[in-house]
Amino acid sequence: MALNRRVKIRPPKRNLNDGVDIEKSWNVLSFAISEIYNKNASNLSFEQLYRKCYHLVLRKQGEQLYNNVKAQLRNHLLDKRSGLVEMIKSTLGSSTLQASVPFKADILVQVNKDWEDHCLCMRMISDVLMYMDRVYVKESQLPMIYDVGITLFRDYVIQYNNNEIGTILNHILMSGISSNRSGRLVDKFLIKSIIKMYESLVGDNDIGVNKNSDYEENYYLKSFEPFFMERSFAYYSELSNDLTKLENGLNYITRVNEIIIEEENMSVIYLPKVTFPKLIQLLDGILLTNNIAKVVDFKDQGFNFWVLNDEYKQLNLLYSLVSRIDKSYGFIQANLKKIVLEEGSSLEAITKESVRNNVNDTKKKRGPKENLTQYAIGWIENVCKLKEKFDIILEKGFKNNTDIQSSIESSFVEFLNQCPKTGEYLSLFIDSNIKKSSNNKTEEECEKVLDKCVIVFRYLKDKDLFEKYFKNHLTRRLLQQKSMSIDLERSMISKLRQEVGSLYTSKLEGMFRDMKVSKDLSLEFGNDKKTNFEANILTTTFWPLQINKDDDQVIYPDALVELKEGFEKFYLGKHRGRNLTWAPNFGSVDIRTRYKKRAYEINMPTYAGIIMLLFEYHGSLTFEEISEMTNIPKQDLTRHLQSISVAPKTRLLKKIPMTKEINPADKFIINENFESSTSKFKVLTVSLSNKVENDNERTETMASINNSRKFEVDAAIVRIMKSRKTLSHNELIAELIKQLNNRFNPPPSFIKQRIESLLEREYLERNSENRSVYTYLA
Amino acid sequence: MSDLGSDIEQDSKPRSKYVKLVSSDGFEFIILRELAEISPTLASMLDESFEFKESKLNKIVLREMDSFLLEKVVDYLYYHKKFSDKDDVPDFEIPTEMALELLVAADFLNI
Repeated sequence: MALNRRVKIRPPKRNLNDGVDIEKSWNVLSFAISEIYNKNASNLSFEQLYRKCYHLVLRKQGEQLYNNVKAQLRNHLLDKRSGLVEMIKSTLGSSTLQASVPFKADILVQVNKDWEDHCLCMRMISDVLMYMDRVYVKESQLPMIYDVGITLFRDYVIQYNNNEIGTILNHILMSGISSNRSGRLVDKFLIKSIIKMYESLVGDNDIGVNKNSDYEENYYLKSFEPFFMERSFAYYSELSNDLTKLENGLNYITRVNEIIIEEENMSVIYLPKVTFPKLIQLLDGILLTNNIAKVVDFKDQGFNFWVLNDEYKQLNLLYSLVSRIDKSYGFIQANLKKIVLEEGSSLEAITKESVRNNVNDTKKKRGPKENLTQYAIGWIENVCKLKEKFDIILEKGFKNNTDIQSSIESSFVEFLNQCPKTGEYLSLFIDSNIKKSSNNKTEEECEKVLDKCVIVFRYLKDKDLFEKYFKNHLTRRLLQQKSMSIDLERSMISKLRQEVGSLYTSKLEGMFRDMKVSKDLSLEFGNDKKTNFEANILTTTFWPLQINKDDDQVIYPDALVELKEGFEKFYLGKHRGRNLTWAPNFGSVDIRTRYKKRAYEINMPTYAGIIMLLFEYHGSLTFEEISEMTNIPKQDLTRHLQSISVAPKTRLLKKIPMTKEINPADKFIINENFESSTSKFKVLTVSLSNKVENDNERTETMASINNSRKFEVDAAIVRIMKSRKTLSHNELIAELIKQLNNRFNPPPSFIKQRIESLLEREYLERNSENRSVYTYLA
Repeated sequence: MSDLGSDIEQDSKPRSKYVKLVSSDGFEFIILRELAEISPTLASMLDESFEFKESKLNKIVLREMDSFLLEKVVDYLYYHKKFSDKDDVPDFEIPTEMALELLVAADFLNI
């Protein structure tokens, strides 16, 4: 713009409405406001009103205008209020403030309508008075005229006369919500709009002083919410009482679940977001936290019932309910644990019962040992079943929650280790499943069973004890060729290795290696000598065999001596410097012989074979004579004589007299009349299959375990100290327990004892300054 | 309320795309509604939910402005619309002699 041209700037016209009468302008505006309230705005010219306001403000009449408008609004609202009170009175009758006010939609509708009208009018008025808002109100830092209108509505309609209308409205709303809760149909949107109105009612009580009040409680928070929460509390408490009285867990959780859904839906529809968490907290607290423990104890349809009857749906529901109040599911965990322990200990009785029934059914006579074995196998089987059951419950009921899973597992660990014989039982169970002909399972089925065994194994604390039994049983299976398949055995070992590492299984694997090497050797030897001779060369440290010194004294028949010496020469020629010890009590021989009826090929233990061969040259022999001629240890001799002269199917020898017991004076002769339905058969040795140990054997096993534990702990301590040099007592123990975890849990006293022993033997010494610190002595 | 006179036509469909602005000396400017609504003041006057006379008739009589001024105002509204979303905005021509009047009008219209 070229200001230098010195043009004259035209002044704005000020004189159009000059001399405008302030009083008159106000009257026009005041009339307009009434007209707006009467919905006659179409007769008003916005421009004119705006202009009036504009001039009033320009003439510094803003303050008066503001106050005048306020006063007029107040009067108008008071009128409205009286109308409302009138209406309420006529609707409710005179007893307006009783506790139970019926849900009168009319009143709400009217209030809502008045409110909406008021809002609209206020918008119009504030638009008309925009200039005042923009100029005067801003300058004087007053609330905008619209906000003033809202506050006025609260103060002169809702809260006027000691919150008269407000209280009634609260009650009406509440009774609406109550009827909605009890399933009756109410106009939710009406409730919602009133609550919305409540939320809009912000501001201090005194409008005049109201400055910079951005953060205030609205009427909803101040008045309705506390009331609502109080009522909800009563409602939930009553519900909870009613539901607990029914003593039906299923009913309880389904109802609670329904209520939760209802309340949530309700909240979403007409409650502000702020209330939602509060309400849910209240709800969860009353219906879940306070009562959930009771659900367990309900006899019909309680937690225990669901677990025992595999009611996954209910458990799932319960799970999702509990997830609302406790994300760690402590409640479920504790109760599951209780059930697992109870179930676990009841297995004993159940298994005993089933074994007893079994015995009664088959009417077979069995020794007590066999029954015990049966019990052991049955027990482990039941444990597996129980585990399986809880696995499914975990998956279907508790969404595989890891916390719950670990609590189930720890419960299993607890009850499995309560029984000191679990290791032995487990090994027996595996034995019975892997053995040939013991059942008609396919290999895949067996694999599955073995997988379960590994889980039980995982829970065992004394894994070394299990190892000992497993080794014993495995030895019998391998040497007597009783395994269903070597692959199965190998897969079992590899499962164990996966579980606890190769250190644990190295000896077991060594056993398999020995078997393999022996097979090749025997084949080679057999080809040389044109004989069918199988030798198993067993590394002493791998195999849990007791080398019996008496075995060396055994006198072999010539035929066997030749073979024996031949093999010794052959083997030592291959491997110089090795020491071969014969263990005839584990071997077997095939003997072809003729009885009256026909010729038979009989497979029998080596000792039995030796005995039989004596009868090539002798007609009759006494026990004493046999013992002298063979040098077979008496115990073994008795056993084998029993199997070839007493056992009904393999009575190759005739015993005189015919009694069950073998006495030193008994005579034996060839049983000429022997006959068998097959031409090839096997002589079974009495009591050589894997059975539960009796108490003596058990004490022995425990002693040997204890012995080997000593070495293991010693070795572990030395290993640790060698690498760490100095360690405090507690650190050492922690490290020790960590290392030995795969085998057993040594009690602290035991560890202390071993440390003492090592101190004595001067592997370690105590630090001179700090007595609880050990130093390794190289 | 009679000072608006009876010269307002009972005309125009509700919500026409155009609105009529009338100056104090009787000139009528017919402009797009959206242009008028640039001014909050005019927009409120035209707000349908309020049902003021102006919104019914789609016609606003501006007693404060003569035709010269109103023309300039309308100019400005077009100018505003044309350049509102552009970066390179040329100056709006304001005749020096009208500067003060325009200032007042702008205050009035809140633009």
